[in-house]
Amino acid sequence: MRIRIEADGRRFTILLPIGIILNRFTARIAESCIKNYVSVPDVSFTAEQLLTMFRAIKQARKNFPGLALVDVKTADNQRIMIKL
Amino acid sequence: MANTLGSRIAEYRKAKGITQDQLAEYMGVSSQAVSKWENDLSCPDIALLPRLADYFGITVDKLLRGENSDAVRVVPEEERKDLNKMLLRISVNSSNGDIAKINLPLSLVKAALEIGIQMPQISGREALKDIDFGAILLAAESGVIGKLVEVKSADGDVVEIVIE
Repeated sequence: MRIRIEADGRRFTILLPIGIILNRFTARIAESCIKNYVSVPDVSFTAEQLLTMFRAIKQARKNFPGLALVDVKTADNQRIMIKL
Repeated sequence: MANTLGSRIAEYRKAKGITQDQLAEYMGVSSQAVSKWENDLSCPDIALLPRLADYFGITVDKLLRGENSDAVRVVPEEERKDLNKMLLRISVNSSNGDIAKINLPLSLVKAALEIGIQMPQISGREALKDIDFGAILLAAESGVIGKLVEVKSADGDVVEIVIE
């Protein structure tokens, strides 16, 4: 997965090797972080739920390699793109 | 259906079960030329388009435009794509020039619904809570594809939701 950010004439890309980082262990870390640090009401996921999403993301990457999940361009030329 | 002319040529060629060399031979061009067409590095000469379309048994219009994704239609069960290979496209063009495009594989939407994620939880936008993703998924599973929603607001914002 690639997260590309362009702002103020600068751009950088964050590479996330989802095959490595999305697993049962990171799902437990994410569950713990959501419990402790996310204060949005009604947002709580178990590690199993997160793992289900991780699997779906990996499957989607196989079916749509390079798909731009999100592409947001603002009028002042800032851009965020998340690619599978 | 693919979005570019090159990808459509590749799809029709593969559907016909022929190689790039065979297509090149029929069209009287080199196989490198066909490869460039399919990779969108170049386009077929305009004089070749009718011959190419005839070869695939389609119209030039369909070859150039692709299938009309605007029309909502129900695909017969035997022609339906696997849900894992379908996309939900949401695009928002705001009047102030901001453009947001979201392309969600339906398998991802399905998984999210199964574990109870609601869109406002992802986006933080209350406006999205009225989109019934369960109904959209059900429609897709029933074979409905095309532009389901096109809304233009009074201040010029345009929102489109397309299943493809």
